[in-house]
Amino acid sequence: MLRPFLIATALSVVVLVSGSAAASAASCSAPKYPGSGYFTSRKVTKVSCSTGKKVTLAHYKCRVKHGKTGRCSSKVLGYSCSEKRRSIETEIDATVTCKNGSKKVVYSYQQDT
Amino acid sequence: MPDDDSLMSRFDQQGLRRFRARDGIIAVLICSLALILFEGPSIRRQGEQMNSGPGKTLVLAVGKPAGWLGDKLPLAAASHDATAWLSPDDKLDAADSFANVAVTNTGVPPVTPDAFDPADLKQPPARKEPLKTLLVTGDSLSQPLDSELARLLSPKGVKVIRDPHLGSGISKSFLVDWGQLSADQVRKHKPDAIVVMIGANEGYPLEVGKKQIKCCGADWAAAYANRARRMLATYRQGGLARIYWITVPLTRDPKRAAIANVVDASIFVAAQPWRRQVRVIDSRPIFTPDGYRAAMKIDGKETIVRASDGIHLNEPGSKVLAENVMGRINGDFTLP
Repeated sequence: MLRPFLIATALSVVVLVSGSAAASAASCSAPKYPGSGYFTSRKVTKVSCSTGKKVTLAHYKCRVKHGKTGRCSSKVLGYSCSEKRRSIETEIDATVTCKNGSKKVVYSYQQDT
Repeated sequence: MPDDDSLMSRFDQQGLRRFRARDGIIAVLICSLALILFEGPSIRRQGEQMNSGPGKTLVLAVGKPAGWLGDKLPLAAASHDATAWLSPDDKLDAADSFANVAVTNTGVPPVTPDAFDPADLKQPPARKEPLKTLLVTGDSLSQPLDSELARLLSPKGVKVIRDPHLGSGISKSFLVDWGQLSADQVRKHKPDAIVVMIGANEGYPLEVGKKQIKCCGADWAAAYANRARRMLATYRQGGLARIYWITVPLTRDPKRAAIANVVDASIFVAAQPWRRQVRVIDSRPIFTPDGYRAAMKIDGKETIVRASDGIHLNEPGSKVLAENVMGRINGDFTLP
């Protein structure tokens, strides 16, 4: 009698936890930076860390097509990205926000120039 | 042709001669006597200040008795007083004396005993305490130094906490505020010793009050040093901990090198008040004594010590640095 109730409760908890995780931003480990610099943070909303990593790396590739200080103006993997930069002569620090509907990937990076 | 061609007789012929040579000699003797009576001590003093030799002997032969005479008679003192107005002494204000004015009233905080490393005073070091917890932190420069130190110390029972913050900088509070971070690190870990290596990503304008100071003049250096000093104040935990702050070795890129120069200079200034607890380990004489170089001799073999970016140390370079740091740690702590 008790077992179905316990299973149902456990399932509800799993659904609730995963649901809330998907709805709020989750922090993911930053992947290795392909160039000279670092990814300094990465957060995803309603997508997995793995998808977030793909979007991050695709945006990096798009960005550096135009050189180390280049910008990406096209969509990457269906995401539209905007970038806020602070830069000095030797490096760029930026936060990139990529959105696809309610899905969101936000990452920051430091690029040596 | 006459024997004497000086024609001095022309004065006698005209009846114009008024003094004889003997008068001249008498005048010189009178002047010498006056000199001895009024300036005897000066002749003696002059002789005493001369280098050894016949000149000094001769002057002292006259100066000593003349000085003795001057000491006995009031004439030398009277002459000194009478001509004092010609070279008056600088007027010193009693109100400025050390006795009347606090020597610390200089506009900067007073120097304390913590500003002196016992080694500089040739005094024995403080009693060594066992090293239990070591924090290794900073930006990417602290890697792989942190692994090297952990490799050397962990087997000896030291808890080595590695806390690098890649891409961060003391001038980049928008990424991480090292004032907050250092306080958090101390609260969490209470380290006995802290190794800090940071400075690869500096050069951002610093906010001081409502002003933004651009890198890299003296005002930026001062603001940077104040931030570093704040961190040191936190890390030293009231003098209980020791800090090993490693300077940035010269970088290949001249633009980065210019920033690193200012960063390193700031660290030396920041550490001044607490040299008893803060050891600034200068990496430049080790890695870049005569400008940037990618390789150096290790055990007689030319070895690449820098990463390909011309900024970081690679593994062999970090090993060299870790050994250097260990030397300083061994001077302050016993190992379990």
